Amino acid sequence: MKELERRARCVRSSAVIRAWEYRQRRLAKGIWFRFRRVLAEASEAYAVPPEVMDDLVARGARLEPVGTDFEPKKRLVFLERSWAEKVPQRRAVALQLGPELLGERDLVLVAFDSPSVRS
Amino acid sequence: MDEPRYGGRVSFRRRLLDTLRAMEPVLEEPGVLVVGSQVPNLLEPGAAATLVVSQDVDFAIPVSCHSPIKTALRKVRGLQPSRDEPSVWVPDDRDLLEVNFIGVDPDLNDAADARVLQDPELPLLVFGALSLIFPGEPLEVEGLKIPLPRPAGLVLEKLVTDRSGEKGNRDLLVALALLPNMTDSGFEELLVAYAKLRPELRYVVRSNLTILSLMGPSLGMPDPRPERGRVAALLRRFEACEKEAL
Repeated sequence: MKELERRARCVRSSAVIRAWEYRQRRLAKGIWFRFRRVLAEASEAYAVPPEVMDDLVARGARLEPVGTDFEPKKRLVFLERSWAEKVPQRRAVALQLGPELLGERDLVLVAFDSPSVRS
Repeated sequence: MDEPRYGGRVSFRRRLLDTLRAMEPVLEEPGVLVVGSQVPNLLEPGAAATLVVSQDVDFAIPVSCHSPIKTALRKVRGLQPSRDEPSVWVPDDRDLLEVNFIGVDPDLNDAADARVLQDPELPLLVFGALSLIFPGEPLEVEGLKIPLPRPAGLVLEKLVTDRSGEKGNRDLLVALALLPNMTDSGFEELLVAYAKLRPELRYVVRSNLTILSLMGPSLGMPDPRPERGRVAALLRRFEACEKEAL
């Protein structure tokens, strides 16, 4: 019975932590959720050199705000697929949480085409 | 059908179905549901059970039926309560799976809460998140009637619960495995249930979906990568609920 009581306490403790995380969601603690949320919308991701990203931004690509919350800052932009396909020196990055994705500073993202929850 | 064996003498599907058959007296009790990670295994065509999720089966027991279920358990052969933890029934031989009994209490309707139902014979850890689960159509396999929950509640229960580590990842993949089985009305049910959660729990659901979206493949589990579009669409629908709530 002690084990069940311990697990029940763990569940209740987790609830307290989650409530705290929720209150922090717009602050530093929420940055990872906001970052993952942006990446979840992308069907493809490409790492690009800084000068290429400079050029994309100069040509009107809109920076995702969450990137500025990191230090050093990350630059993430969504491009139409046709534009992304023409970006020079791009390197495909797997959209999986891990050092490769998290280590990139400049990422070009391609959004899903009107995804359906049932397709 | 080739059935995965995972190193055992008997296929996992056989062990799962034989365990459920051994527990038939309990399954026949009104309100009892098979929940947890074996549900997607059972929902595969012919209950193929190809996913490597866990080596146990979860039974949700309504606390209001606690007494008749204890009576039904006395008819069970081939498993017995663990000496250390009587809410877990362990098999007499390795051809069956462990069975975990967990409690459901509609009065404990805070999905973030849990309490213990003290009982020397069948104590239960009662999870508030299980109040999100409602009975669905029973599944009939090899003459065995298996009471299953409606997928919407089970998906939400998986997404609302704290997930971490390998077990947590597999639980999220279980939620993913359930999505293809859901109808339009199932998704509507999911959205309605989501909207009733407290804001921080809705946030947990969305956060878990973003983790699911960025997971790599795991051995024996559905590959989440081809389903990322479906996950993104579900996130959007949940976010639309948030905007409606403002």
